Amino acid sequence: MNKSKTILLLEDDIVDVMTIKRAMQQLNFENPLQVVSNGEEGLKYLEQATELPELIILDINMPKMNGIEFLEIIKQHTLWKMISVVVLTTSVDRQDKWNAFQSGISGYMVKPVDYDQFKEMMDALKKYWNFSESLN
Amino acid sequence: MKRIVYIEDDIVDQMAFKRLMQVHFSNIPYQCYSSFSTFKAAQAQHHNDILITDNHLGDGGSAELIALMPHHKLIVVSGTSSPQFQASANPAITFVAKPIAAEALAAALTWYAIPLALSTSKKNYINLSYLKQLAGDDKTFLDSILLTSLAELEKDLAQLQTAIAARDYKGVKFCAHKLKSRSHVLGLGYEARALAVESNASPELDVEIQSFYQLFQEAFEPIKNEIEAIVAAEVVPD
Repeated sequence: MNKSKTILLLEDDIVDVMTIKRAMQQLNFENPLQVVSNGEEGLKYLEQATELPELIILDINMPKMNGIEFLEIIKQHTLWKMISVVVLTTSVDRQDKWNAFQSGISGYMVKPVDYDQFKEMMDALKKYWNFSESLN
Repeated sequence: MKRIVYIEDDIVDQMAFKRLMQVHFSNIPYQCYSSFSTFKAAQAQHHNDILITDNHLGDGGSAELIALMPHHKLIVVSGTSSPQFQASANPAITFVAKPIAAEALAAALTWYAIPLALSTSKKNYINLSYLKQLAGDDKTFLDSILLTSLAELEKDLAQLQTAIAARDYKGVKFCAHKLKSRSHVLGLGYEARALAVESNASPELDVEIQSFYQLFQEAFEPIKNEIEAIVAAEVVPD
């Protein structure tokens, strides 16, 4: 993972944001984290960004524009479709998962109820992206 | 302690129920009857128990059970939706569709078991297990996430009330999704009910939705008091 590049987090729940930030801090993520609370704000961020994020971590269930609607838009964009997107959700709905993979995501992670497992999952995400980066 | 009594003439459904009890409610005793008549013969033992019945048994069913024990709350399971309408008109009945999904039955059982436990024996609403994992010994972080969760819980409840009043079922589902997270973080134990509302909110379930709202509404002040006490303490409580 390019450590200087931003990770964009689309998550409307403040408590979930605190949890994710906490895990990233404890796992020594070095990338700057940009948080927006729905798909509309995510699109606005991408439109204004001088450099595209390294990775988008996306919640599904958000107000205004949900994660699936956001995905459908960015995957039609010439540049934005290149950004890796990982869905991070509490939804175990198969339709959500199917829709997300149909839209070309890189991964779908269901938030475990246990925080240590959640941290392990975030650690796996970090290691995977470090590995991907080392191949480039 | 209350028992759960399940009246079911289908042996496969009984086996599935027993499995469900082992997995989700291993601390609650239960008993199965294979017919209405065998239950009827033993009914005196079960006046304080949680009753679950198949809607149609070979020798009776939910209607006969309601007639037999008219003041008793009842969970009706059925492969058809007609009992669902019956349940929506009777606050003493709730409905679970067959084939029984684990979450749906768990939610229905929670519907009866948890409020009863709350009113008698539960001393604390909040269970800090998850937040202690998250915060460790960092009291500042613990306080911060508790106060944030409380503020969000208050907002979620207000939004749920508005959605219920407007009969906005999409909004109800969204609020239930949020309240599921609140319950998980604060260790309230209401996730199964929240999931049931999140998955199934519809006009047929208005009674259940209202009860779900009341559950959180009634718990809010005690939760607030518990959080304020934790925040006021100097160390992370045991």
